[in-house]
Amino acid sequence: MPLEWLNFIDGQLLEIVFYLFGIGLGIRCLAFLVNIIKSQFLPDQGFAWKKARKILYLLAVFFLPYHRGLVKQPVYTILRYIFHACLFFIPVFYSGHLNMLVDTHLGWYWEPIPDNYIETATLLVIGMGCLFIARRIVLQRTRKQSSLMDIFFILITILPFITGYWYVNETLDHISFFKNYMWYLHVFSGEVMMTMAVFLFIRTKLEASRCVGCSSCTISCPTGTLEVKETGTKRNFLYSQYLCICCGACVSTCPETAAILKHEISIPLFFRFFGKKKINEITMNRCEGCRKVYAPDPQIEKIKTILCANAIIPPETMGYCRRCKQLLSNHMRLPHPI
Amino acid sequence: MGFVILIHADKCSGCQMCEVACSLKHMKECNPERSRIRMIKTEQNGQYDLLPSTCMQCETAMCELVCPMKAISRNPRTGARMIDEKKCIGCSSCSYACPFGACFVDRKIGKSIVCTQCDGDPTCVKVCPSGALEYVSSDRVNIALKRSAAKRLVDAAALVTVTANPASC
Repeated sequence: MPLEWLNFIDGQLLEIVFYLFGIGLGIRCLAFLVNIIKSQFLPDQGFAWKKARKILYLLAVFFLPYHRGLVKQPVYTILRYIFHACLFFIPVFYSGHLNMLVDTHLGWYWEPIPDNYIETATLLVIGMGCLFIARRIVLQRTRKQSSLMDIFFILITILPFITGYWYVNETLDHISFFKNYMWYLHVFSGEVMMTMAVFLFIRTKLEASRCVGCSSCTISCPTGTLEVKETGTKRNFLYSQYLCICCGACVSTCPETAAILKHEISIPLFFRFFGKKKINEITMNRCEGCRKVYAPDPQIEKIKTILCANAIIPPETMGYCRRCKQLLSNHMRLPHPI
Repeated sequence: MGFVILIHADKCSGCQMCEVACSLKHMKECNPERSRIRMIKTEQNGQYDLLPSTCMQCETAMCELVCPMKAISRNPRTGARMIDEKKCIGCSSCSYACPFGACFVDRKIGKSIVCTQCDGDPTCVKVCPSGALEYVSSDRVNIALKRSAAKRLVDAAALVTVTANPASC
């Protein structure tokens, strides 16, 4: 490989990627703040600090290891938190990186974490990454949900850690190619990972085959990210990814386990700062009495199957709205006197 | 076992005091839309019928069966259905399943609400000025209904005899 390319990877490209990373994350934070200030879910009355407190609380939910998805998959969620914490702490507090940083024109330096801890944590990250890939391949439910892209994300994420570990421990130095180029492989994989992180979003998805359209996820959403809009006999679920704080409220609420949080890499999504995207559509049925749009079809079907399983014939009033049901039941119970 | 709120249709004047009292007690505002007992109004042949309608405390409750979070249970003391607000997610399955239209999802709090009989001391019964609502043990309901039906039959028979031969009176 020509020397100028290697120098480019080592020097200018690294600088460009760092700028891209900083500016990209800054734009995303700004878009989140603008969206959250615009949203209707903040308290209308009260002082400005009340709003600020709410925003701070939402940000804290985003960063602290408190995930409502814990209820459904405790082990996986805890592992995921350790994984993400390591992804931040290992590169930022590794003494080798810091020694390089102090040599640049910035001259920044802070106390590094001891090297033996870093090494253990690196092994942990690699192990957990392999575990996540295995989980995606082995478990039937997750295999249906995940595409090749999901495995690709995890591979890209753990690759700098693998190459860094090999580079520091000189594991593969008996092969001359790796001996010469391991440093460049490490830098390049790190650059790819940082570029990916800018365009990587975690988004709520509703599985169309499982969702019954009860809209309890929109009720539980603390920021108004998920919204329901009814047009005609269709119930549309709208989602704006810059408002989402990934709190997992929709995941823990969903009684059908149809809501999932999933990584998605997308450059157009990055530039859509205010738009809302339709993520699911459910057909509603009309009340047989007043012809008002009343209940989602799949949910009525589900209720009927539950009742049949409990040896109860679904009542004829199932297709009527609440008001019509009240009228019907009273007419049957109280006929007019003779 | 259990108690029910018995509704005497013939005594009801339609003043909607029960709705106001119920929403004021449970929702802290006077809003009949958010009340657990609802007045229903029908018009037939120029004659208006006004009736309160509330939870019937079914023996095998469909709301309890279809709830995906198992949030609906029975109050062990009064036998009334109650909804655990921490478990309820507001999917409104119970309101679709209920044959009487008694429980519904309140959009402000996002939870399903149903008549809890105010923990054995119903406010609507206390405020009802005409005595149309009565809080009775559920084994008494049948007797009361039978008595009222018998009374109605006797009245009707008297009416028939009066209209058949007006000369007799």
